[in-house]
Amino acid sequence: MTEQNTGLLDDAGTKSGERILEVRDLKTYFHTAAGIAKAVDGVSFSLDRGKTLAIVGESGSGKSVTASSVIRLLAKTGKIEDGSIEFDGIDMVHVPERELLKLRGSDISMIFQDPMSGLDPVFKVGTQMVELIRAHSDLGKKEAYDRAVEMLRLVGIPDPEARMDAYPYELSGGMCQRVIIAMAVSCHPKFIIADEPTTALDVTVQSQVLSLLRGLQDELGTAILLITHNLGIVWEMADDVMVMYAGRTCEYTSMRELYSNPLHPYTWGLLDSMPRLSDTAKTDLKTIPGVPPDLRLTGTCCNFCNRCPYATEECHRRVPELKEVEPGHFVACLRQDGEHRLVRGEVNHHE
Amino acid sequence: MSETQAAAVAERPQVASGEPILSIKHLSKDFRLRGGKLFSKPQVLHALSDVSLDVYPGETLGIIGESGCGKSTLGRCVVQLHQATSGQIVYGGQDITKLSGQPLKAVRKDIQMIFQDSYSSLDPRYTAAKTIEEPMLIYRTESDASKREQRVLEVMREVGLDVQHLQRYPHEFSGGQRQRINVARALVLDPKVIVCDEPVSALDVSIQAQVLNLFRHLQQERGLTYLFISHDLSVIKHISDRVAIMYLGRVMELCPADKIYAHPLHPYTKALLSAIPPESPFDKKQEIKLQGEIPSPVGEQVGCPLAGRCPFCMERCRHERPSLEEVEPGHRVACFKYHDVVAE
Ligand SMILES: Nc1ncnc2c1ncn2[C@@H]1O[C@H](COP(=O)(O)OP(=O)(O)OP(=O)(O)O)[C@@H](O)[C@H]1O
Ligand SMILES: Nc1ncnc2c1ncn2[C@@H]1O[C@H](COP(=O)(O)OP(=O)(O)OP(=O)(O)O)[C@@H](O)[C@H]1O
Ligand code: SF4
Ligand code: SF4
Ligand SMILES: [Mg+2]
Ligand SMILES: [Mg+2]
Repeated sequence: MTEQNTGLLDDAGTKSGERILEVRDLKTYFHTAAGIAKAVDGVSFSLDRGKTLAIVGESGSGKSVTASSVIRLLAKTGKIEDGSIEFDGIDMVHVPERELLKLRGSDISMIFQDPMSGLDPVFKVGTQMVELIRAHSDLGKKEAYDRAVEMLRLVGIPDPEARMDAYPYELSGGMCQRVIIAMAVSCHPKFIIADEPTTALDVTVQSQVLSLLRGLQDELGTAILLITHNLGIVWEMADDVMVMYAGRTCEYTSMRELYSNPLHPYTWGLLDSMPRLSDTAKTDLKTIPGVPPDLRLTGTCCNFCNRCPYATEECHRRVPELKEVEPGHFVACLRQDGEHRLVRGEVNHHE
Repeated sequence: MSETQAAAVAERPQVASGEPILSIKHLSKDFRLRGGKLFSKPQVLHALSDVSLDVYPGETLGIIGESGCGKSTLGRCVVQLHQATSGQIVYGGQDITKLSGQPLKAVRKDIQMIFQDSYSSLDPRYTAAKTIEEPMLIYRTESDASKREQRVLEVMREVGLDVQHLQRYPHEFSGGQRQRINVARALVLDPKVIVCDEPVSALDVSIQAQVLNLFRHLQQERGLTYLFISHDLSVIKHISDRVAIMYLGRVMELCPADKIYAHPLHPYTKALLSAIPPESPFDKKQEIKLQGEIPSPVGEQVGCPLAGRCPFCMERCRHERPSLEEVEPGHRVACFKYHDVVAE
């Protein structure tokens, strides 16, 4: 195993006590009136202290549900059906609700995808921050206030004292997102789940927020689970990357390996659809034709088979398992395992 | 893409010309903040200050800038969700900030807005059909129910939604599909101008690509004009004909989209470009970090908004404000550094 691959499914991390999160074969289903939606249906990954794992993948592929499962913050209809989640020696699937509440906000903090959902519209942002800081530390009112102002300054909010009195609707989209980030890091958590943390930020502020997170990592060894669709951020921040599609892991390896040697056909499609600054032609962007499968009906074939240009008849009958096809490089594709090798761009013509 | 489409793309003018469809003149928007303490005097937040922009028919004017610099406020003023504090917005020969009643309604119909968050901008209790139909009821454009239904089906097809999904609710659609519903809703009244406020930033790249292609095709087919707000510079470059760069409520630079990447002038634009995440893990970005405190839009504003953080700041910049001036054909900059070069 190479140095960069420290977060992968090996035992090195566990032995050295560096491993902070270990998720194995997680399955989270939603029981709805219309049937059972297999939102997460077989996801495994691990994360070491001070490292960043990025999850990328199609919208609706289960990235947020995976993250919410880790801290068991699921809608009533959602249930962890199978698999194990171990955080810092704690069995997160079975730990009592009371202890879970203590963990959330102190050891683990979560930056939610929708910035508005993390803020209460009827309270001033300063009040919300001070309350959170006091709930998870023994700081007095004044110290907590000062800490909150300092955090707002660190995430680049101008004139932070004045903004403590603002209500969420008085702030721009990006400012709300930064308040959430400030709240998430204010208690020095061991582990941060950041679900699309910078979608509303311009690149200079984004860069500032990302270096804040990296600084926290270097200083306190914070581990980060980063969900993003911005591949530039992945290249900048991640140690390892997991690519998800329709509830399953389809590729999992180190960030550099994923960039230089992507192996799953869905990953290829994803990398190809990105607009690039270096492009000069104003033509259509490449897309992946078709739509993802109905999550009530998955589990009998490769979930990508209806859109995969490389699909064979077998792909419609068998579920590909996640296999280590090269050292530290895991892929779930029937045509990408040891003996069989696909070549990117060489689409089959027999269909 | 078909050949005719490709030709249409090639023919799009690089520098806008002709009569503007929308003319924003010296637009300012202030918000009054309540003082934190009781009896303290209320402060004024200058969200937009003296913004002037001409938008030409059939073009896409991209808008980028620091978070909180007033992009959404500008969009909201244009669609009349905010009442401007001063200045004019001229559309169809009249200042729409002065309109009310029926004439205002007519203008609102022509200028639609698509919001960033595809989820919270849709009412969870409304099916796709009802959501798309609603503007026709609000603006009473079609009294015949079956004609309305016809129209709903028409736009659903146009944006690539499955008409089988007519009766589905928002949560039953993926992010990309929900954004298509928003687009369909904006299109149903057949507008001329659409303000797109970060319409793709919540979408994954493959769906983002679908939605961006959709915007382009609709523009080619209907001659739509877009005001396109985004933080993603590669998206802006891909979709825009011209780009306006904003900072602290003002336009700092305005030029053709390609030029902003090939030949940026304003110090803020240069800093912005240098902060873009790399295209590969092996590229290292050479970031120009703007030093110093980020200035606040609250209270009186003097000098160049970037003065406190600009590496080229001169004495003059601290008390005088540079106006947006043309320094090369089609390229405007608000910075003394370039004004002087031209003057010499
Ligand atoms: N409360 C719920 N009830 C039923 N289905 C749900 C619920 N929450 C999520 N799902 C479904 O689970 C799947 C995974 O959702 P998730 O939010 O994890 O996607 P995601 O990968 O985060 O997508 P995005 O990039 O759009 O945020 C989706 O198909 C979604 O519709
Ligand atoms: N209703 C309001 N009351 C008071 N201040 C407001 C209100 N709406 C916006 N502002 C302020 O106006 C400024 C500009 O906000 P705006 O939402 O236009 O920024 P933006 O450029 O869209 O930012 P972002 O990229 O983060 O969305 C901000 O300082 C914001 O706090
Ligand atoms: S298993 Fe078959 S359908 Fe699935 S990704 Fe591989 S080639 Fe494509
Ligand atoms: S006017 Fe002065 S402070 Fe402003 S950007 Fe130009 S050089 Fe910098
Ligand atoms: Mg999500
Ligand atoms: Mg905005």
